[in-house]
Amino acid sequence: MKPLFGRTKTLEQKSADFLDVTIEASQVLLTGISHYLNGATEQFEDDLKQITVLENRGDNLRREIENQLYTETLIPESRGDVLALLENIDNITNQCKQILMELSVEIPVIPPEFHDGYLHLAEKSVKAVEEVVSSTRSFLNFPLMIEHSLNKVYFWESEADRLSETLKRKVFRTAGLELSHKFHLRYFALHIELLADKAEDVADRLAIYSIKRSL
Amino acid sequence: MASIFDEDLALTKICGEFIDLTDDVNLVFCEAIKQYMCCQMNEYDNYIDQIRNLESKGDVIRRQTESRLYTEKLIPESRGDLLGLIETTDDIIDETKNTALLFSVEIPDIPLELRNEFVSLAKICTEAVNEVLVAFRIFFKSPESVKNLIQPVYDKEKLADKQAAKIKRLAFLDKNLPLSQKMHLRYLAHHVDCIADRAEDLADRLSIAAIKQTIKA
Repeated sequence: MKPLFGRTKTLEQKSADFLDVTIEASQVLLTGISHYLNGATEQFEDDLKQITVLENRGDNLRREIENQLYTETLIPESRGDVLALLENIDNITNQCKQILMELSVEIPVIPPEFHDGYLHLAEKSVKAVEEVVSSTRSFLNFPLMIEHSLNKVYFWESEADRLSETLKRKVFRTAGLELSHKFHLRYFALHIELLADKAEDVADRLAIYSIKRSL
Repeated sequence: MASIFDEDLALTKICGEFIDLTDDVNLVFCEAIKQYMCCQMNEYDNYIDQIRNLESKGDVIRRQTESRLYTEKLIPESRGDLLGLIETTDDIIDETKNTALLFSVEIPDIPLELRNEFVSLAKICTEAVNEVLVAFRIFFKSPESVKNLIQPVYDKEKLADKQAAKIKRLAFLDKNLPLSQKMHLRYLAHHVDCIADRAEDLADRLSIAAIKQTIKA
């Protein structure tokens, strides 16, 4: 099976850059959460600035790719699928930024006994993102490999679900915490878990698109 | 009228299994809420395990069906509609599982006077789901009958909204409850009510898919 963009090298390069932005944003998210939990406020605010720049770059790249696909009438048969795919991947970068932004705005008090829970949850969600980016690269360049990496996305997404549930159970069973404080902690666990759900959404689309391409 | 699946009995069978499974999740959920409100936590946890297993099985069936729809080039003209219907049905399962899990994870303290109100809300939502599943089953055999079958879904969804609003009002009028507990009760009522919203989403899709099938015929 041929690469999706064939000889349209600029498009291929822009797509690769767009996926790099998503990976970078997920790495900055991990560092940001770690800085937040360790009380490294200045570094955390730097992470937020960095992720905001990345998100803007991702938006610009997505728009450039979309414009090029339409104005140059490239891959008309797969254009709709590629557009939807890009928009769903962009949601991942947006979610990464959203999490850091919410931490910065709401400055939740996270008791030390939950720090590991939040870090591990973020790690699993980021793994789901890494795998889905790798699946997307396969879809664009070497579709035969896609099935194997899609399976990994589903695995990490279900791990994120499991860890999030464990964390929330622990929060709601901790004596001495106000109910409102428990809600706040639940909210952040939910939003980190949502990152893996967004990776799964992309994986579901990729599964169908890759079948369509193989026909 | 002929069914869109006339030439593919295997696919009809898989879709039937998926509807059965959704029906099971729906019934188990209602029983689970009754047990929670009676503080029968062991029973409740057993039901949660059942819902988890059914949901995983549902995901497998959904992906198999989606893949089959494409790889075997089945009913291409109705493929998109059927995919949408299956995904929207899966949303009902997900919403039901997530709501059941909320009670298990957050062990909310429900005041005695609100327990029956929550059971009523769960029953109404279960009825909404049941009605839409009946319509989905009929869709395969007789799409022209769908129109009459989905009205009860909309009626139940409205009833669920009313019942959820009643719970929220009662919670917020209770002078003895702290604000955080009122918010917790509102959150739970909202999530149970969302199950009926997902049933409504499926009814909307079914309605359009059925019209398309009727026109084709």
